[in-house]
Amino acid sequence: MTDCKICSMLGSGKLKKIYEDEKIIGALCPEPVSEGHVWIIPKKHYSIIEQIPDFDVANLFSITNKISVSLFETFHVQGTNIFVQNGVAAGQKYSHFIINIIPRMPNDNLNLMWQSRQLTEEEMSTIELRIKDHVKTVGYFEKEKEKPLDLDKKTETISDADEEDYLMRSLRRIP
Amino acid sequence: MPSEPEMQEKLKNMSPEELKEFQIQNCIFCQIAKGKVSSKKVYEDDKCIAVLDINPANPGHILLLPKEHYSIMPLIPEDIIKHLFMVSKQLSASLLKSLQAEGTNIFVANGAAAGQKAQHFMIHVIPRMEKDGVNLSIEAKEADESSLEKIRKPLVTKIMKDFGITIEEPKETEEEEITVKPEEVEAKLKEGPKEVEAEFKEEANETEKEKKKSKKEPKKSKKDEEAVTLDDISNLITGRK
Repeated sequence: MTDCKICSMLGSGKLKKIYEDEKIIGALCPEPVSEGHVWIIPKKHYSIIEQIPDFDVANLFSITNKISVSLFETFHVQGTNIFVQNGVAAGQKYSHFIINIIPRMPNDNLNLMWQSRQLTEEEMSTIELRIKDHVKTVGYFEKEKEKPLDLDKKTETISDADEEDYLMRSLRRIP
Repeated sequence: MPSEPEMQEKLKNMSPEELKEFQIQNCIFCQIAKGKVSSKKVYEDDKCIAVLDINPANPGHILLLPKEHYSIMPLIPEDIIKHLFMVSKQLSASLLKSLQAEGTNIFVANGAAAGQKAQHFMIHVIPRMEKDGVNLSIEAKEADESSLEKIRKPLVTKIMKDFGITIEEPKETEEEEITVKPEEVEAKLKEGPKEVEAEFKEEANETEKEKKKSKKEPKKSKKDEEAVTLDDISNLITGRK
């Protein structure tokens, strides 16, 4: 895996953590766009969302939602933007996948909006058909693999006193 | 048609359920979700529907809506949130493939101050091309240590309470070394060897803890700068086609 600034920041403890669990870190963005700008990042290195297993994407955004609520309640912000820049063309700056939670206040002069375009009916229909051709796999989600059984526990239940004796006895009978 | 002041009166006297019902009846996106209003639908399942935005940032700009009416994200049940964002990941992949997009933005506006225009929660999945002129970007601003710390403390307290977890305090051993003044060191040396030894022992313990911590992390090669080139990520994206 190529070197990643975010991975090394995670390792060196330079990120100001505000949340942590087994797979996810929440941290204050070191170059905040607004006060309380938070990053939600997977501990494992992924560059784009398409690389992340579905169940991990689900957890990342579930945590994002909850932390967004915590931001609302702590700082009484008037809104939040959830923003992902997936790919350099989309503005991705670091090669590590990041979900931005950006707190908003009225008149904060943060221009986080696009200019709307007008497309012709024909253009819209063409796009619609092109996309529809590639959505056949949407809706089928990867499931998290169940943890492997703890084999030690299993052998305990198998090796009942009687059974062991029986097995040992039968082994001894073999000439 | 009732006049505005009359409407205001009516709204004030409504119960939350009645208000929600009122919102739904007047919500264009609920009508779209129910199929009562035509739309350029690209995906649908029992929980959500994805349609093309008629005023897009770029061709292929998708609005992903829950079929149930929710105005903001905090009100949405967790399983629906998870479902919506898993679908948005897959729609992002579909856009990359179908339109040869070079990237996608996933964008949510929660609240009017955040740019929320409609009363129905939606996730924007926007295909992007290099130099497409879409000015959806964030400007990084420098922040000093104290202003970040001012935010961190109350937020961590709240999160530890909300989630029932503990978050370690950041260790600032590097900065401590720099701020030790020579006069202080001399004074402490004069105090006596025992106290100096105790201090060194404390520091040794701290560095041991740091070593243990760094061992737990997977070893990565140490290079100075990381170049995020168009190639690296576009290779990942084109590799998926």
